[in-house]
Amino acid sequence: MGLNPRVGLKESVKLNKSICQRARALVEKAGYSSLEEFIEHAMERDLARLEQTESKDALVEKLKGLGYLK
Amino acid sequence: MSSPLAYIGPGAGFAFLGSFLTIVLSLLVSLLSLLFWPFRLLWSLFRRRGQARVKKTIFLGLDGLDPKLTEQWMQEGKLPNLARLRETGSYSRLRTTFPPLSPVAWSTFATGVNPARHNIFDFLNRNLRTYAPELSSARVHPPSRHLRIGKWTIPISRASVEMRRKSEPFWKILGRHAVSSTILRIPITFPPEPFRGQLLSAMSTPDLLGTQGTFSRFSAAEGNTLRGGLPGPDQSALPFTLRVLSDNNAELLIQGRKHKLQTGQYSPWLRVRFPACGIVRFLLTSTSPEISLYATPVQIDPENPALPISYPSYYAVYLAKLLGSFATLGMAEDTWALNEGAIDEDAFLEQARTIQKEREAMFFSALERTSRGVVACVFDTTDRVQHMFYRYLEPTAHGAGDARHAGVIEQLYRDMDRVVGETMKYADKDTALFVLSDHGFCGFRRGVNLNAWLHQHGYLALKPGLTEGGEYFDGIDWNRTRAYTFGLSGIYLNLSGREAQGIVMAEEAAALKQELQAKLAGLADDDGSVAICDVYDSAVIYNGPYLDAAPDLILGFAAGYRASWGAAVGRVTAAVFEDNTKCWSGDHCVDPALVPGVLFSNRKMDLRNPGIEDMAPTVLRLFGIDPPQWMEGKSLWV
Repeated sequence: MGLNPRVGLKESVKLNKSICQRARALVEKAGYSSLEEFIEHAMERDLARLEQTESKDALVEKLKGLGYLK
Repeated sequence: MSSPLAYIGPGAGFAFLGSFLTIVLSLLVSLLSLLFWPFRLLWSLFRRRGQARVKKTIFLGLDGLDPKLTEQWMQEGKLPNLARLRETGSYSRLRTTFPPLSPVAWSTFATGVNPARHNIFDFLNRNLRTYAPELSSARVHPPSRHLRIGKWTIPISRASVEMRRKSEPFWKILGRHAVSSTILRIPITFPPEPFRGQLLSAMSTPDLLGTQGTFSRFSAAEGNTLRGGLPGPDQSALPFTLRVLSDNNAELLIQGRKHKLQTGQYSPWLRVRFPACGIVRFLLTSTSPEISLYATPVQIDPENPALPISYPSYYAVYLAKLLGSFATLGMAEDTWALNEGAIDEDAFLEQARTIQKEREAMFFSALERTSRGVVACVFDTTDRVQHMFYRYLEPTAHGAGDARHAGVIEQLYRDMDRVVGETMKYADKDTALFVLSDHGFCGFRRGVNLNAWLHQHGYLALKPGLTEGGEYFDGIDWNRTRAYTFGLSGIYLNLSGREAQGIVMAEEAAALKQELQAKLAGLADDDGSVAICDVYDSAVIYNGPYLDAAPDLILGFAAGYRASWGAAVGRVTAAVFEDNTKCWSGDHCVDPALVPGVLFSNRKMDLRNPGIEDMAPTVLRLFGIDPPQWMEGKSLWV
């Protein structure tokens, strides 16, 4: 666990205006609360395919102590 | 040449200039803030379009407060404050979420949407590439860049913590309309996100080891001295020595400090450095025939947090300075230690009482300081104590235990009634007060391992030669497995194109789900009792962009049943049904219709089948704000 981790920091990215307009018209209908949430979800889906994942042991260790599982 | 009498180096000068600069900048910021204040006020009044009906709203969350028990004890006159609230205001059972789990239900409370729109379906989620389990609510990403010098690896970027709950909580929307909120211990608020107000995180906040709560137990069979090492992050340990002074007294030496311990009495929170700062409480459980010492999970120190646990970051520090140190772990009551016999029932109850007191102090302090805006606090002692003591209401294979504790749950409800009474004093005519729970409770007598059932019926395959599988799918042959379960809420299809080794084609999925629904609804235990009332298709009950992360089928267990301990961690056992022999004897991971929550208010409301998703739009309306289009709940305001 690192110290002073960054949380909730935002970064600006310039996107094509027309794609933003198309997306903005649909995000609420799709159930997103904002255009940012929609874009983050799209990025996360691809990142999930590409990113290195933590080892299973490390993930299981983090669940230790969760009363519902013990 | 004579030596100087004193040395005045650049340090002092820089310190003076630094302080001077800070003062000048602070004054400048204050001046600008003062100048712009009228414009900010006008803007916020412009944003607040409707007429606010209240000045203040209080949410008092009592996690797991069960309507059956509440109604019974109100009827018997044991909960006078709740009964008064019902008579002068309103009361209803509150529809909960599919599944009726705290992380799911409180996320719906905060956002006003179904789980497929906030992405929390269970305590666990799975990595679709590796099938590895993950905590569904938060993810800590280690530093991404490192510098290698010889055998050392030094991180040169910082770790980041990611909130996995999506959508937007009502307090952020209120903030944009100039309504400030104090949010205390509402589940799934770790890591804390910026908004107009202050927030203390709760469920899913890890301990200093990065786990959900790892206690320690030390013992020495002989002599009067116990030496050990308190586990810390990255396999570190703080050495300590415990010396028994007399039958009930001992002295603990840790990090150069001595602390007196008495058998059966917790130490106060002690600060420890690994070097990350933590807090821990010790309990001397015995001095004879063996020395035995219990240590709570080492928790993030609120006065010097190693991970962000509040917004603003100094809010936790402020609370600790104002009220003393406090438990910061997501699920701080150590249910695991009681299950394992590391502490007894009295010690568990004492721990739960102390944590409850810490939170009451925070809650009432916030109420004292709030004349406008929202104060929302969830007390989860109600949930933890019912989990561990429900066997006194409905016996399980564990046995009831100590007769002195037969009335623990009733006493718990009476104590919460006292908190309600105290809270009502802060609810004047301009205040809306809501007392609510996210789900009810029932007994947990028998566990169901649906991996075993899926294996027996040919939907799940083990690797050749195996008759049982290990934790988290160890031993499962994914190339021959069509469905599997883990966690507490449902069944997942091993879907091609979604799961890394999926074999169920998209066009087969609907038929497979129907087949499983038909076979599992009404599934009977060995004695013929129905264990599963119904099985729900998540594509039917949910709608939203995160549907892919949901279990494909949500299980509606009957009262008395739950996913077995093995099934929860993805094991495949030989038997489908087993007795629950643990102290953890009450649960709510059943059909949502069986465990609604409660909703009390000091206001009259439209209470036709209210649901927990209605609370977010209700509070927005109370402050004159139109709920956004994506929010699904409906305002309860008449």
